[in-house]
Amino acid sequence: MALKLKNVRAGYGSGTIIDIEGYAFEGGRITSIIGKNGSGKSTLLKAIDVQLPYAGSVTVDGAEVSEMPHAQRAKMVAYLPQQLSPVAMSVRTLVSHGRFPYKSFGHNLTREDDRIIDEAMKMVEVAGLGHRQVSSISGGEMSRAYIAMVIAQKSRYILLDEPASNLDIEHQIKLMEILKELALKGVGIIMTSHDIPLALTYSHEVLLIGNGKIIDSGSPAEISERDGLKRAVGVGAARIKNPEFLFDYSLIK
Amino acid sequence: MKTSGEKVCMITGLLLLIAGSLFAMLFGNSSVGTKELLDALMGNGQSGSATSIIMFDIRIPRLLAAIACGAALALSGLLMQEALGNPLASPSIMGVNNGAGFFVLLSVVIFGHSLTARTIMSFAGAVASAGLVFVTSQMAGSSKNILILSGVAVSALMSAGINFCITVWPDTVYDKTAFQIGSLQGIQANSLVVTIAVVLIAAVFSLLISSKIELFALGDEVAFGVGLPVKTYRLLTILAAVVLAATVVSVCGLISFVGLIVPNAIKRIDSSSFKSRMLLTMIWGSNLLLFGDLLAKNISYPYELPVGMLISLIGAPFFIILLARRHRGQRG
Repeated sequence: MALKLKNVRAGYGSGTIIDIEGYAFEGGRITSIIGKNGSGKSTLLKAIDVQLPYAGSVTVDGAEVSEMPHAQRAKMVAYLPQQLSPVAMSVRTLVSHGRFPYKSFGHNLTREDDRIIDEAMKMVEVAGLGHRQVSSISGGEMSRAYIAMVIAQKSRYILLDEPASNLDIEHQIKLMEILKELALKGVGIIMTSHDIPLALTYSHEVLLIGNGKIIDSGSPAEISERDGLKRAVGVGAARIKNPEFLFDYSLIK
Repeated sequence: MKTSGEKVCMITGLLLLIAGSLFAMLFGNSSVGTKELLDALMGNGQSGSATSIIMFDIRIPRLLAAIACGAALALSGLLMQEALGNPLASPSIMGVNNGAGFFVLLSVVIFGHSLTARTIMSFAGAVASAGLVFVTSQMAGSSKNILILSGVAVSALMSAGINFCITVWPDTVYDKTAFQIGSLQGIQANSLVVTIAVVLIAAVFSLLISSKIELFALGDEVAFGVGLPVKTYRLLTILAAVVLAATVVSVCGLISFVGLIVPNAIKRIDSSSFKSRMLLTMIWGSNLLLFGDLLAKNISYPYELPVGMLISLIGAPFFIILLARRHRGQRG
């Protein structure tokens, strides 16, 4: 059970942003993609979800994602971009859109859908905001509401583009605990992050990207020992672990 | 479950619509008494009598036209705003109305006053304008503002076409002013059958895909992520909007701003679903055109103003306020 990339090349217009020879994201694991701005992290997530046209192959259990019907693709892969809209709809309505791939034409939500929506809202602590308009809540609450939506989507893989960037530190840690819980249930989490201590603390796997190519990959421990991190972000693990320089989440766990 | 704002808005809107309809049927600029008209309405009058003609050939067609065209224009605006993610989009601003109007006049020049030709050419003009706006905006960068500017340019082009037709072939329209600013005067019952049928089909189709249209608000990436074929549904939504606007133009000319005012006003009410927002938009669109027309008929009695003129008087300041708020929002 894996989401596999093979010779994936994607970009905007005629330019190539990412060029990945091969990589397999395992289900039930959190993989953090780390790299500088413009390194191709977001482009990679978009290519996996077929948001961008790409050359090569992206498969889940051998089935090509780009050839799946839209609802089937959404059941396999959920995607949340970094930029989210403060939409004029209630938080519950937003979260209910996660059940879209399961709705047949003209049908309303089932009781099972309602249960899944309630559970997702409870997980990210937005259950009390159900009737509030998304446009009227804070940026952090909005991020959590959207995360509840992708949790309600119940996909095999969840792709998150810097999901913690709008959250306060308490909710960053809570989010990572939730993602850990989902991973334990077999969901593959693939997220980009600029927060290296957070990523190294919670990820099972780290993928370092530079100029659209894989620089290194491995467990957080392996990555900390090698020099790939310095090449990917310009700062080595030794400095990142120094609490005087950057926050180390492992200290408060 | 509907919100309290929605319930109030829905009930008030329906009550006003009923009251306005009764008023439009029973009161007007004729010497026939209200009692006789009420009798005719109940089926107790003589067929072919003046009272019956006033009721069934003049007032009821005009009332139905106001309800159908108001709902169609408001819904068309809402669909465009959702599909394009732009609250400033509407059939008049996007050039669709003028495109349909230009082609209606061309149809009269080429085919004479054939209702079928008018309707078909109106659709063709609306689709041509919408297509031109998209091609132009794609060439210029396809941002939300570029789209509006392309609409303004195409609208101006089509408006020039309308003026050309009216100048060269003055007989193409009975009343040049009424056509250019929109009027419900002289609506004929036979032209309404097609209009109401098309409006109903387009409205039901839009309601059926409302759960998909609602997803546009999340942004293309999120909507695609939950499994929506974004491009297909955007095209279908715009097509429904264009059909609705074109149908209206073919019967009552170029009524502007209904598609801008009503959806933006209804948006301010917290709604439980997009479907209920669509219904509210249609009800209040009908109300705006119905009461606008009642006012237009009576404000300068014995002369009648085209309803489009009154709507524009309300719509233009509303548009300016909307632009100012949008600008403030962008700065803040």
